[in-house]
Amino acid sequence: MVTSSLLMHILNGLAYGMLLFMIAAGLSIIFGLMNVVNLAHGAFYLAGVYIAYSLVARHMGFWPSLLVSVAVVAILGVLVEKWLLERVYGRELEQVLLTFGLSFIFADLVEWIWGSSPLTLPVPEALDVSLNVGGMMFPAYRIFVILVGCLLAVLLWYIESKTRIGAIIRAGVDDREMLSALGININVVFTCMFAVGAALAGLSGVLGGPIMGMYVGIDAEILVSSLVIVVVGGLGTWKGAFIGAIVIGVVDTLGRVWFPSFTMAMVFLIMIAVLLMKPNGLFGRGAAA
Amino acid sequence: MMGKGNTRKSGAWISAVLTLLLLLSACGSQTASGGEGEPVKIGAILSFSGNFAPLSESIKEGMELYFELHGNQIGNRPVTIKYEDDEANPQVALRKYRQLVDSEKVDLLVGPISSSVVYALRDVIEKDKIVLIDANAAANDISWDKKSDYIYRVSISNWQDGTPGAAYIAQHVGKRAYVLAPDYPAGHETIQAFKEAFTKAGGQVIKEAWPKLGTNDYATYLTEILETKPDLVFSFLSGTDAIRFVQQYEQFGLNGRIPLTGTQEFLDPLVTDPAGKAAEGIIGATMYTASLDNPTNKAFVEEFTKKYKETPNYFNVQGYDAAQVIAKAIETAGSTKSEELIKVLKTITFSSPRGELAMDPNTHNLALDMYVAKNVWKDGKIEQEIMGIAAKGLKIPETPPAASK
Amino acid sequence: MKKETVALHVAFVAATMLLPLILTSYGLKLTSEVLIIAMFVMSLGLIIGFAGLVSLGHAAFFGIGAYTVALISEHVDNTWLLLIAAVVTAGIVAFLSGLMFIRSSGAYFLMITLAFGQMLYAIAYKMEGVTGGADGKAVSESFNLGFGAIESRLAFYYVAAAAFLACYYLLRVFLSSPLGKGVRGIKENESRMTALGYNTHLYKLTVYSLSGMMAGFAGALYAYFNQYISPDLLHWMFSGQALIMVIVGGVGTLLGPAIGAGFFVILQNYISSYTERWPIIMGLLFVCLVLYGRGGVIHLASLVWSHLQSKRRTGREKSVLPKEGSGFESLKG
Repeated sequence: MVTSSLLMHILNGLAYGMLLFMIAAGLSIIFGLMNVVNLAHGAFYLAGVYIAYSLVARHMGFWPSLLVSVAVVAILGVLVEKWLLERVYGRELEQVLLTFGLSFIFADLVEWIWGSSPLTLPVPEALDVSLNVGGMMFPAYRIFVILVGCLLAVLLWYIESKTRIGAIIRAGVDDREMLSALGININVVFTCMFAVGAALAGLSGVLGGPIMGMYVGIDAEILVSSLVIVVVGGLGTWKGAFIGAIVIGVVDTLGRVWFPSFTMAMVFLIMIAVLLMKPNGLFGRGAAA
Repeated sequence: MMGKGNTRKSGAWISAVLTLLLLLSACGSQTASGGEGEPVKIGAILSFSGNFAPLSESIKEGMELYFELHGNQIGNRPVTIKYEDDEANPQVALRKYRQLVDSEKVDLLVGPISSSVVYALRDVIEKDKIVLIDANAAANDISWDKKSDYIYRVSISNWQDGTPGAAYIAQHVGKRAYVLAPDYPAGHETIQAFKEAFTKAGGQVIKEAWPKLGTNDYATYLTEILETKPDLVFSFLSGTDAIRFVQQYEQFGLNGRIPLTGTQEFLDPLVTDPAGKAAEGIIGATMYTASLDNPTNKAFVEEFTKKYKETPNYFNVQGYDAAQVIAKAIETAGSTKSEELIKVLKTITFSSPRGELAMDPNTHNLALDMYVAKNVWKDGKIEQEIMGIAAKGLKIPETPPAASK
Repeated sequence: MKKETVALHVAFVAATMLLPLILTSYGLKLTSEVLIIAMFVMSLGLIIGFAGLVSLGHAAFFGIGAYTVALISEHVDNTWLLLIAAVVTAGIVAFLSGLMFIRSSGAYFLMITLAFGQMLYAIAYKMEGVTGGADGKAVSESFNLGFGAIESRLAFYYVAAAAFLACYYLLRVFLSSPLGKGVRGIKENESRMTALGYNTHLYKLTVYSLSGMMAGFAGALYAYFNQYISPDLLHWMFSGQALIMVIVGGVGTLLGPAIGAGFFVILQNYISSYTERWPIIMGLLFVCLVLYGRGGVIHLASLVWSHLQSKRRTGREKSVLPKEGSGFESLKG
């Protein structure tokens, strides 16, 4: 294969991976900190992109719509956490049922409000150009998504390792009781982190809209992909989600070129391989059971 | 545990079981039907949840428009339609089928979207001898080995979808084609048909790509297209897959550089409306566009736009035609008995918005006029411009073409 | 067993056998389907509620059972042989996959089973020549245990009912056997059992294989029931539904998951006939069940029941639920 097209394939994989990273990061941290498998996480993705769509359709412009939509999704996250999830902490299977029920409700509400026909979010005008990469055209918007993903990774890494908030979260992932013992209001921490996770999913939705389109059902697809990433990377770490996303994004993309008959099962093959070698994912903490 | 004889728990599960039983017995509400003046009951098995929802909604709109325009009556009998959601899953569809046929006692069925569902229903339909008007499922074999006296298709078969555009494309667009379709039976059948006709017309398929159904990101394939530099791309995709492909095709700077051609899915508002300007320039063959010039279509488009405030798509037409075929068959047969109906259905003719259509008695599939059309950008919206006739009265062959086995 | 309990069981069996008297022809068919799915969900409930293994790929075994019957019935028509083949195949696959996967726990186990199920799904989907591919395959053999083909709905109902009762009582016997007690001990406190010298891995593997066999059996019956198989039987959505049915019914009980299956299938069938907005209603039901019923119909029912009881006794006992009922320790590794 020509080098330039290999480069293109890798860029494609990265762009796709970065979108998944944004949603997986929130999922992973909610899981690590609160021990909640949030099956409604895909619904936040859906809410993000559909709200942005409505705002853009009202000529609000892509960037303001993005901000508003992410903020609304964050508020939605707070409501879900405060009203519902808070009541079932520590009861995992009931959380599964609750968040599953919520994902049903959200998805169907979206279909009710916006209809079942797929919609699309236009690429923001400033980025609606193709760049020349080694003699081939590559959409500038995808480069932008890769940059946002990397920037976010750096930001999350900085927060996690250099700030007080990060210290609290790390402590919380390892030992929740200790947090309360230190006099930290754990409820507030949980609510904030849940909101941040939801906001990241919303952000991923808005940024993903111009690439992947929007329809009811994409929430479940995205959720499964990001769960795979979270598990491959290891629960509760941003670093794991980042590396996992890159691995899944790039391998999935290259797999389509090199092993076209395995496209359906590619990501699952990777996941099984990783988990057989490292039962707690690439960067997972905690002893192997 | 149960074994401890905990009466509280036993009581709990007994009450739960009792509730279940109540629900069950409520499911069996039976009504008699059949006589003169009694309603004609139609059961519609469509996929209202999942990716096929827009198609199902469209078919429903088309059917309801027809019956509304005809006083919700067939002859002097009122019409009731019971819609069921099969979730595009054959197992659910079988459950819904039994509910419609055993419990609701419907006179005949309309449906399904998915080919796997029509295959699953096929054997029970034969056994129960109940008529199914296929309003979408395109599997070829329903006209061939799996043909049934009780199943009649008013939509299109995969073979008819893939074949007609090929000759025009080979003559006017280019000879070396990169083809792309989802890796599932409809994709294979459609591309197979295209390939045969395209090669016959002097074209050559230089590469086939089979992304999985529901691929989020076509970037890999678009990069491949940039690399292979074909004369043209021919694609069969539907719904969200088609929209994403068209948009990403433009984002990768391919639109305008390598012509995109495809099946009628790419020439339908369901895809071109959301895809917007990116869909400009796509060429293909289609059985219907709203601009078709015939009196039935003019009236249809007018009534449709009045009721739903949008341009009809071809699924709307499939629904509309399913309804009118049912009405006409029952009126002609003077009965809703399957055996009477199938005598009429075998050779039924009707005025569709697609033109005057006739059922082919050998395949239980329509002979269709196919038009070459192109997406053009007009007044901030994609419209289909008809460029010529691709095939007149195109029938699916009576047996599978030799090469496809 | 107390007399009262024996009477209850007799009533339970009798009720199952007499049910056709009040059911319509359609109700009979639906109940047969519910019973088969209930067997499958019960097998999942076994590993979740008693071994703490939460799987999101259990449909794999159901699908293996169904596919085994569909594919082998083209060459062999003996129903007994086909059923045994389905159970054995599912059991072997469960054993081998369990051997690899049981090392993982919590969410990792959840996801690796999902991946495994999806691989089988992809195989069934892609190998068109053998499995019928995405379109599925018709099953032409009818169910025949040696005394004539069972074609009537009533007869098939009794087959399903007998199979269901047999599975249920088999699991009861298993759970009160030393093996079953060991498994439950592991779920309650794995490290203690390890310290006591139990090979916990082996116990889990046994119960996982047993559960796979039962799922395979249910799948085999389902292939006969619908006379049609398709890859949807292997898809994670079906596994997910089964998981939801287990939770809806009540984790940690044997019959809870079966009741959950009934509620899920019948209610969804019912509601989706009346409104396209059925997902919202189902979703709301789940949320309410979590908020007011501790996540299980059986728990909710026992709350209501004891409420009625306590009213009668004018007692004010509030806590009703056995602690073990609410789930398992942690999804975390």
